Amino acid sequence: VRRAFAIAAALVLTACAGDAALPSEITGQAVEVSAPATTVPPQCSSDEAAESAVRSFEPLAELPAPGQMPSGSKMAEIQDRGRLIAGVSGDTLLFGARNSLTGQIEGFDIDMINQIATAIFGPDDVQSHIEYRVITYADRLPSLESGAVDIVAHTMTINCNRWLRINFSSEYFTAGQKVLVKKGSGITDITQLADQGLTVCAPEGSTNIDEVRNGEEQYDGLVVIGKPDISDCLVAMQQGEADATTGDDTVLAGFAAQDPNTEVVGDAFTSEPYGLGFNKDDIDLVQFANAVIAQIDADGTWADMYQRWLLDTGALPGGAPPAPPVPDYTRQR
Amino acid sequence: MVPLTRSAGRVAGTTGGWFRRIVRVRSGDSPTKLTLATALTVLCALALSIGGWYSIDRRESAIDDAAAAAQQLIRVQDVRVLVVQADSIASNAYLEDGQESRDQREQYDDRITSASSRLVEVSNAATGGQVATLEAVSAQLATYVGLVEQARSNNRQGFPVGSAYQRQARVVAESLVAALRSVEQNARTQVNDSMQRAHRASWLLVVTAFLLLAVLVLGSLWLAARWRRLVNVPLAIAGVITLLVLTAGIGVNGRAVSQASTAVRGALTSADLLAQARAAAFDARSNEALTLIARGNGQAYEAQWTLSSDVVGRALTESCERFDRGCDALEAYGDYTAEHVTMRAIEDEEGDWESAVDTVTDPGGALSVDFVAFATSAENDLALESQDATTAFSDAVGALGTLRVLVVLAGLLGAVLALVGYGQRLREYR
Repeated sequence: VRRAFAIAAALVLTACAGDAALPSEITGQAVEVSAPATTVPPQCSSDEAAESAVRSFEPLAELPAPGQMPSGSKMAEIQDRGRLIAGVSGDTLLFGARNSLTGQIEGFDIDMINQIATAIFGPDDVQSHIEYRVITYADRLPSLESGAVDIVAHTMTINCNRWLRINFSSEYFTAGQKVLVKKGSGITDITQLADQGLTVCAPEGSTNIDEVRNGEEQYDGLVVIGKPDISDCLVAMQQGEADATTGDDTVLAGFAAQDPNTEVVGDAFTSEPYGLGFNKDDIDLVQFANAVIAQIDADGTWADMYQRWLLDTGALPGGAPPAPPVPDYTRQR
Repeated sequence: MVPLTRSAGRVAGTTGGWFRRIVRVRSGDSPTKLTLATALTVLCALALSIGGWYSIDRRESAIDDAAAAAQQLIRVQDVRVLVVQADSIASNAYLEDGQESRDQREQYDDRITSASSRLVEVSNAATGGQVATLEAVSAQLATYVGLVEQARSNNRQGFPVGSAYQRQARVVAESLVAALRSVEQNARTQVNDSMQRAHRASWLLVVTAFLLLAVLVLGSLWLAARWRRLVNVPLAIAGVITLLVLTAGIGVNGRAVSQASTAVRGALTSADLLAQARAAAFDARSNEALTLIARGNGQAYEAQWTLSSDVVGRALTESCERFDRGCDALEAYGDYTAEHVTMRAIEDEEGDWESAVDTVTDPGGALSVDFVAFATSAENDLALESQDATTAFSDAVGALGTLRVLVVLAGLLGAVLALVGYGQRLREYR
């Protein structure tokens, strides 16, 4: 009996030995991605804000020949590198959007970049000398401050607070803030949206959202939602999350072209002067860009660009391109 | 005071009654003792039948539960792989400027259709907390498909808003995949819990068999001493049968749980690792395309690529080293990783986005070829390991049904033999 018990006990122990268990799921080692700075952006004093924001630096007296940039300049650094790194929009139809048929980014802002690159490298195969980096509205200033890009052409409004962080070229386009609503909604301007307590969407980090969030009393009553990019606002409208989108008339015209159930209504309630953005240290590149802008204003290239992107597409009304914005070069170093 | 005294008296009286009966049995006549011994042995034999049946049934049920949870794990992982595959195809197709090939479209549709039908199977087999999660997953899959369709249709018309829909689709896909991973972890926990139950389930068979054996041996010894018979044949046969059942029971039971444990530690663990590697690899491939779609601003997607590739490497290394499975897939993924690093340098260092896109989207290029080699090898190995795990679980419970019948019969036979064995002695007093 004792032996039988011992054998059985041994068998039981053998049967129970070695618990089997599946290990937990494998998780990867996280890689740190530098998060954008969350510090409060600097604000202009009332005296600074009273001055015209569109003042930029004096253009170079004479543009250097392509491929012969002055030694030690930012342009020479770009020339030596072999490419201009440009922060642009990838989804702002007419200004900076990827053409899904060709895969190329194109638009008014992209043509501005082409002009700067042509002035540095010459017209031959200029696209091979440009590296586009598609950035969101909120990334425009940080990418210049960090030096990730040389230039930003991204429907960016020149204003006093931004001058504290980056440099701007002279004004190259004048837009105005409007609203995009659903056709048949009966809304004719932004005050009606505010009166009815409707939801309006705008991109975070834009002057458009600052205007309706912190602007005048006429916007009281608006429910404002912010999105990373303005194209997310069109999605929000199509999905019923927002009743309207506010942005520059130029951008909204591109949205109306993408969604025939929407329309741009009302007069512009702000003036949005666009400038090319540069790092705070790159004043020589700003002066170079201002000379290029003056040149394309004078030789009719600017008018051709306006015709191609804004008139031929039917985005803006008018039979002929207007005069380019008048530059103001009174900013001192 | 009076009731207490009366109650104490009743207790004392009852105790005294039991004591007198035991003394009477001990000093009682032989027929009474034989009757009691017969009854005790029959009870122990019936206890073996019932206890043994219950014990084996519990073990079989626990192993079946472990097998079902393992199947559920494999099914859920299959759904996850199909979803990330579909997302990877959609992301790569978006990168090709709306010029989505018919092959890509068919592959995407096939993955989504398969994911939907597999999700129905998973939902039908869901238990407890899995049900609500899987309902949410079904809704998210429908949302995901809708967003991809919006992205695709806008992209085809040249509307840049398609990229916003693609971003949203990605967010939904990530949420959906996270939910499926939680169901997978739940299934792993169920496998482990069921295996612990299977290990604990055999004690009742052992205890009842030992009890019967002890009663039979003591009874035989008593009969031999009291009636001067060397062996009571029926009781001896009952003892031998009980010993055989005990040995066979422990052996078969042990073998069943051992086979199930081997399936869990071996084929199932390997299948789990390979499935994790496949899901993470397709996620990496998706992030590769999204990094390019973000064009120069896709650091977060590239970081996610690195994270997923780390999972692929660790899962395949473990599977290769422990189970000799996934070794070819590991090598192919290493080749793909080298091609990916070269491609990233084309965009990050040379600034040539177009060439980087061409490298990723060219189906005959080294990057795509290496990835397909990885995917095919991992899929084949996964199919083998999944099949091995399923077969091992099935084999594990195969003999338990027969054993259950044998134990019940052995108990009943023991009871009959006890009646016969003690009956021979009882007849001498009639």
